[in-house]
Amino acid sequence: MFRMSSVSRSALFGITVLTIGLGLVPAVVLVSTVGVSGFVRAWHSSYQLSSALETTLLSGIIALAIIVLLGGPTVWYLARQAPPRLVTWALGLILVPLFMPPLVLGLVLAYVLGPDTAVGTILSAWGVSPTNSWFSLVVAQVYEALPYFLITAWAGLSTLSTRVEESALSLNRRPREVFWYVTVPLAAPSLIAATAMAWSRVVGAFGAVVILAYHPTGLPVAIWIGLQELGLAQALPLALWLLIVGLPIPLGFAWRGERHVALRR
Amino acid sequence: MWRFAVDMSRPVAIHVAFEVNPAHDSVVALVGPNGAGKSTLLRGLAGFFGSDQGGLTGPPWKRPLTWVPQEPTLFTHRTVRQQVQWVLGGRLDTDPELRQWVTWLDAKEFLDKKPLAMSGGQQQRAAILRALAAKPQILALDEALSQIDAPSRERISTGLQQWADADPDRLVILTTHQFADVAHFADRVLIMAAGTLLRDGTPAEIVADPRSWEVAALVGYVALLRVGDTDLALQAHDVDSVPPGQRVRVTMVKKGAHEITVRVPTHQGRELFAVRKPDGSWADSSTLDVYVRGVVVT
Repeated sequence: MFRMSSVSRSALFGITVLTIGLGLVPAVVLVSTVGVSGFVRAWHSSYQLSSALETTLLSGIIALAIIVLLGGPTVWYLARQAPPRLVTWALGLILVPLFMPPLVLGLVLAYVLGPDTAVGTILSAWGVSPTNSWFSLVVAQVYEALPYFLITAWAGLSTLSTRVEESALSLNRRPREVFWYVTVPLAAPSLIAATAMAWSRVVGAFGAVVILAYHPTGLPVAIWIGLQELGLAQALPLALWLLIVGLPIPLGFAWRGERHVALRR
Repeated sequence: MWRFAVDMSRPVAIHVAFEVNPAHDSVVALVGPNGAGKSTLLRGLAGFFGSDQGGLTGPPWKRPLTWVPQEPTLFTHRTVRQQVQWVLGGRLDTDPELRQWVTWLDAKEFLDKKPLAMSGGQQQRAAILRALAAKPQILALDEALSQIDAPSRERISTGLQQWADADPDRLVILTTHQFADVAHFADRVLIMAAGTLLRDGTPAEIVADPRSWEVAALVGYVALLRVGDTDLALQAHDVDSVPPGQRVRVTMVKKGAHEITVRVPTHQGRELFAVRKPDGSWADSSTLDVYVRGVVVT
């Protein structure tokens, strides 16, 4: 590895610590304000916590599964098969929802999924409530998180050389074998990063969710309700629970990242 | 007899067709400058693009050809042994031929390493070992010896020859931009430039009669006497450095090794050359067409 002068390295280290430290300020304040006792007490005192937790976890897992199922093949196509011009356009279009504040995204989606709209009418006919339902909750979460998955996964996958897969195919191994033995493991770091990013967005989705799915109430909306009804003392412990729920996948990614970095040096 | 053909216009124009009888020519080298289309041709033969009108058909994984690209293509998440055994479908230790190759490639030192912990040369050797585990009839190596040290290259070249000679259907096709790398062990050399074949023959035939400056330059000549309408100009870096008026001697290689004398007069500020033929007469520029080694001996 290229070695910098100790002064430059120290300066970079300082900037890195500052950046991470600034990013951690909200979490540190949250943990120190709520404390372990407040965190545990919330489980017993908040009538909403267990159901909100269940709602967030269940809807989040469903939303994440949809994101991976839709986003995985899309990213694969864009990184491996699509003509360059289509990729440019597709990436631009993928970014469009990110330019909308989530609240606006929710309002716009309400125009599509509202009870009186064509889609809403069809869904209602099928027995699916288009708003304030598990369906609308998952839709809102998917809309908020999908672009993050696509961009992150594409950025990683597009840097993988196609020659690796081609040489594997030339070793008389069928595409399916090459996909599982070569492509998936090599793409894993970027896919895990994308999944971690998407999960963070899914569990924290609020803007679109509060418009489309006030009920069933997930943790972000429960925090909002808690803040309105009982103030910070009620909202912050729930926020800490949300943080804890969101952490496992990003932590798993950090662990994978450490192995990856260690291997490269 | 293997028949190879790639005919394509995009992304690179390649119009090449050739036949090889592996019983006669077991090691064929594609030699050409950077951008000649050698790598694209091999990729096309491997089945990844280009309309293959030759004897190789079907998808890449069903072809008898295994291709080793010049880029590092080892799987970074697996050790070399794991990759070889995945391709082989069995244990490496149980395959006598691969065990022999482990020696030729000096592969013991990296068998249990992952690629990112290996040098470029080791990765190239590992890629060859992995390709041989596929038990191909045709082994296509794209600049696959370029980062390997000279002693190892000698050993691997010998190994490739022996591997190909062990079965009359086996063939090694390798690309390089250095004719000298393959001159000593290729049975046949195809010189390529701009997506077409310029010359086809044994290394000795091509050295003796390169037929064009492009080929002559690739096989190591540093000078070519060109016969124009007016003057004979000898274009060689070392000969250019000869002071005007001094005499140099060069060796004419076409139709035997004749000695000719080159006089270096000054003409309008440039060095131009006239050639004296072996019989002592000055060359008639309309009849002389020779390639010369640009070795200044005076």
